[in-house]
Amino acid sequence: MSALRQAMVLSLSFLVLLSIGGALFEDFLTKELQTEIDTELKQEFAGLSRELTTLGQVPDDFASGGLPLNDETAYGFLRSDGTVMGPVKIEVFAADGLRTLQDEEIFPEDVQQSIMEALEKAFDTESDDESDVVELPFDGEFDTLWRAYVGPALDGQLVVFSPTVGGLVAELSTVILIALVLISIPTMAVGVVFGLRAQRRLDRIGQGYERIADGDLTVRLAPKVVKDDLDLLTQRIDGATERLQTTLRQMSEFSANIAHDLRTPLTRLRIHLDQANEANDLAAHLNSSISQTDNIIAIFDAIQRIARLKTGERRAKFKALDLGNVASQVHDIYEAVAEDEGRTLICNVSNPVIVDGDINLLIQLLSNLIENAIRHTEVGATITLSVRGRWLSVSDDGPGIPEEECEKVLEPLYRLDHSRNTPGAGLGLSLVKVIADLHEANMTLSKADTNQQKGLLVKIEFRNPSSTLASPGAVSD
Amino acid sequence: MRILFLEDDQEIGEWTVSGLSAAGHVVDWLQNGRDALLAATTRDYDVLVFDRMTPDLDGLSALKTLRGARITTPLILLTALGTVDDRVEGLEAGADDYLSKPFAITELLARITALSRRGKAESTQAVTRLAHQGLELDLLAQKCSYNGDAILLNPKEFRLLEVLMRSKGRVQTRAMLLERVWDISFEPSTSVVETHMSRLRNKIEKPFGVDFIKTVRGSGYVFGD
Repeated sequence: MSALRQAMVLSLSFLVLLSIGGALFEDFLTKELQTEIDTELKQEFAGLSRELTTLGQVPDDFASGGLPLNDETAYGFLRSDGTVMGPVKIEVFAADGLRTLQDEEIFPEDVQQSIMEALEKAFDTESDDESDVVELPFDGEFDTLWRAYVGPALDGQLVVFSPTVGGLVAELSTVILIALVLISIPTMAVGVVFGLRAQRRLDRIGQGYERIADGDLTVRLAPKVVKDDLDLLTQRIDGATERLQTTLRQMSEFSANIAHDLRTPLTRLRIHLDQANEANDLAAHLNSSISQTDNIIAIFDAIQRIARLKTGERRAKFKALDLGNVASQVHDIYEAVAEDEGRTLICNVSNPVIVDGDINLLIQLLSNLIENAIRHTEVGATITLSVRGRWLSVSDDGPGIPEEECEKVLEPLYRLDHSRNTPGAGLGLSLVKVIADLHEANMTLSKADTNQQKGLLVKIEFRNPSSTLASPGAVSD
Repeated sequence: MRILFLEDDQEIGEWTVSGLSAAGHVVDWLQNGRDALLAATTRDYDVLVFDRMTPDLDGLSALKTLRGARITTPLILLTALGTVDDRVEGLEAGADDYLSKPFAITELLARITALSRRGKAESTQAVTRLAHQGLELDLLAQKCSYNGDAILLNPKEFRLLEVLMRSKGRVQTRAMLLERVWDISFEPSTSVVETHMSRLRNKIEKPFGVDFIKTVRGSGYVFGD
């Protein structure tokens, strides 16, 4: 359920962030409005004070009985004789300047009472009398904070006060909060829907992968139409599974072939040892036993080499080398060998490129191809080793390999039926293939002579000419 | 020669020790890496033969420790892993030679002999000329002659003769020649060494009716003697 949880966490974080934003906004707004109110109070105070000075006295009806019910400033006056005019307590005048006061700090009992009554009347929803409804400050909540400005005027003290922003901003915050909740509900719903969808897809991939892990390599995870990154990922997994399936199939065929190929020399070994036991021709049987053992060791050796090369570790030791150089070194080694075997080995090199590779492995690759050619051709055959650009090839004019077998002979231990009895472990060509793969070179087998349908042509195409500059030392060593 | 031999397998150990002793070597056989390391640092040996995988301390690590301690006694690494990578790794760790199991005792003997001499003489002086009973090899000019008559050798034949003459009197196995002359560390299925050897002999022996190179049945070739 991690995707769903993620969606929830995301939605909640969104909410929390919005709330923090809202709180900061509220704070900012409060300060702004407070400043504005304070300025207005001072202006009002100055105006009233000027008016009183012009009159020279405080009018008797000054602020008398006026209830601060509307969104307006109210005021009161403290005469020099100690009487208070207006709906304020005397304590309000205790100090000059700006102050924030609570209801009970500012209003005497009776005023509070009348305000409550007015409020009750205003909220009497039964009443149809629209005219009776008093316009109340800020939802009529009578727990407002008041901002008051006190100062000397004429011969007494004047107070000007109005509700502070607390209520207003609180109202605003409520509106924002409601909006937030309204926004978050669909957001979360969408998040949950998407989360659930992603969760279902992930679950499906997970279950599929579990089946693969359990050994069912036929499972494929990608949908028919690739829409997003997740689909791409499943496509990659499918690719890996497919390669794994191929490898596994090859491995099981490989093991079967190993078993088969080892059985022959092992059987022969056993026969020779058996006969040696009867001690007719002891030395001959022992020598044959040794050579069968060598045969078995050679098979294991080749298998081990192939296994090690397949890991690709060797690539780290690649150096820039000249393909022409490799070919001529191999030609030097095998020209005489071929001649002694009654075959002719020709070497053609034109425009050889520099590739990144391992000279020992490439020599082994060409050696295997040439030794194969010597083994599978008649006396008098011509074997051609050639380098053209980034093509390396070995061809002969022997019987060749049937078209349909060309792929298969590259598999480890595969041997054409008619060559089952010729010496060689059947690993030569697959070792060549592994070395070619290691060099990221493409290897193909075909008829050398397409007209007469004979001869084997093995072509190896190197994809990347060396990226490093070839130094003469690196080429020749 | 005094040889320190590290090998944990009882049967292979006994077989190897008896083979080496039969050839006149004095062998100290130890079965774990720690003992071998101690012996190699405290006693004097001509050649060390270490198996790569041994209990306590493996042969490769023992070798690295020895080389780290500047003990340069020639060492042959034996291993059941016969691939090129292992060979390179062993040589990089400071082994002087490398032999994969299973091996013929003659192969090991040839390599031990080659190593012990190489350590003492060849590396210390730069040889520019090799000569034996009228056969001369000028390494600088890359020229070969017999009693003053020039013999035309191709570069690989020249190198082959050079390797043989440098190890006069000591057996060079096919595998050793493949490594040293052609830089090949795999076993070709065709007779590469035999072919080139017979070509060389046709050039340096046949025309003059002499015999410099002897074939040692089942193991290799020896020059002179």
